[in-house]
Amino acid sequence: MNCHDARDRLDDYLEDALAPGERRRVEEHLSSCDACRSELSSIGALLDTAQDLQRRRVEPGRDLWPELRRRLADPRHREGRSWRERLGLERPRFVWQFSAAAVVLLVAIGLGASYVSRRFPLREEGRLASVEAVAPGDQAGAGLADQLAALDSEVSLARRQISQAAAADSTAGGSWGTFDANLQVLDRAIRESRAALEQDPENPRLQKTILSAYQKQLDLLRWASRFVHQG
Amino acid sequence: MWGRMNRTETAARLELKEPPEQFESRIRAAQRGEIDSFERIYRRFGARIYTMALRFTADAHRAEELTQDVFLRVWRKIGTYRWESSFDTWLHRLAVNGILSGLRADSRRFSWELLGEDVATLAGPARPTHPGRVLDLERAVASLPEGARAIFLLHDLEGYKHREIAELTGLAEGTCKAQLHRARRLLREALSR
Repeated sequence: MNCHDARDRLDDYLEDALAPGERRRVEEHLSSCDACRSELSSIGALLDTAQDLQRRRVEPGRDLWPELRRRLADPRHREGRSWRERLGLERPRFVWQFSAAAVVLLVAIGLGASYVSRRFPLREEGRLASVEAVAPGDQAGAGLADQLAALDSEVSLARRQISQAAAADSTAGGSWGTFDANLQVLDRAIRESRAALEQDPENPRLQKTILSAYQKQLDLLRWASRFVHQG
Repeated sequence: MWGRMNRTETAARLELKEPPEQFESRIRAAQRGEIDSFERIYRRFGARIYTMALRFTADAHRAEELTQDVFLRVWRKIGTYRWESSFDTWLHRLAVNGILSGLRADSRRFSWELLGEDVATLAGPARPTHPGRVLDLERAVASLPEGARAIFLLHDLEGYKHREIAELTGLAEGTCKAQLHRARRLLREALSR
């Protein structure tokens, strides 16, 4: 390798960007060429000084902040910021209003649960007393149907009350939607169980399944009610 | 240009340091639109950005303008900062892009063209007035042609790789390497006078 070729590669040599074979050839040349070694040393010194230069700071001749602040306050420079940023809200409004809406919703749920629990008194364990009163083979089929109809009516009333309370607070729509979606899952379970029970009305397991589904709905309302009382 | 500068050599004094968690709170406050918190961010990084702008432009007045433009850009975009990199790195990237954009938008012709063969285009100080090698280099860099100066600053001071410089400038990577090679040669010659 001659001096011209070696010096063309010194920058890459310093950055360790040469292929191994090429690096070896450069090093072989440097080992026998004082001029190129001096060139390499000169580049190294420049880069060392550049590092020192990089750490050096220069202050402006005047304080730029007052003028910068005026420009920041100009509405034209706020265009790129979202409406939430411009209003100083880092989160959507419904998040910081949620606590207020949640209290309203949970109080409504508590009232609904309280109404249902007065209409259908529960044992301490929260189990429907009528579940144990049902026995296969007796008049349970007719009694169960009446109880299920009454439960349907009461749960619908409670949900209407909660829905109306949520509708009165426009920001609570999302919260009620989530809650109602959970109840709808239980509705589907109840519908499927009732359809099966119609085919097999004496089936005790189906009877318990339906009552269990209603129990879960009531538990959901009871839990919400307890949450409000604990809050 | 140099006569207008007030020099403060100690970076630690200029870049006001505060505990990381406190600075993080300040960033979040600025993201919420609190200008007072943004002022602290400016105070922390302002000198660094001004210094970089001054080196790229070799013009103190233009450097002041570009510094303000950079911080206006930071103000507009701070809401997009997602804590995926350090704030220092994020701001530095914005600053480099902002300064290069400003250079391209300048009324003066800004050229990425290769240096000519005439070494005399690098005016440089005929006789350094200050013995400090760092200051000599500062003056010599200011005397480089704009495009070569920018590439030298991006690579040897700001630490960008050739591939990144090519993306920033729109030049081929080989061209960037060639410009850097010649810039270094001219600087070494200026410093050896």
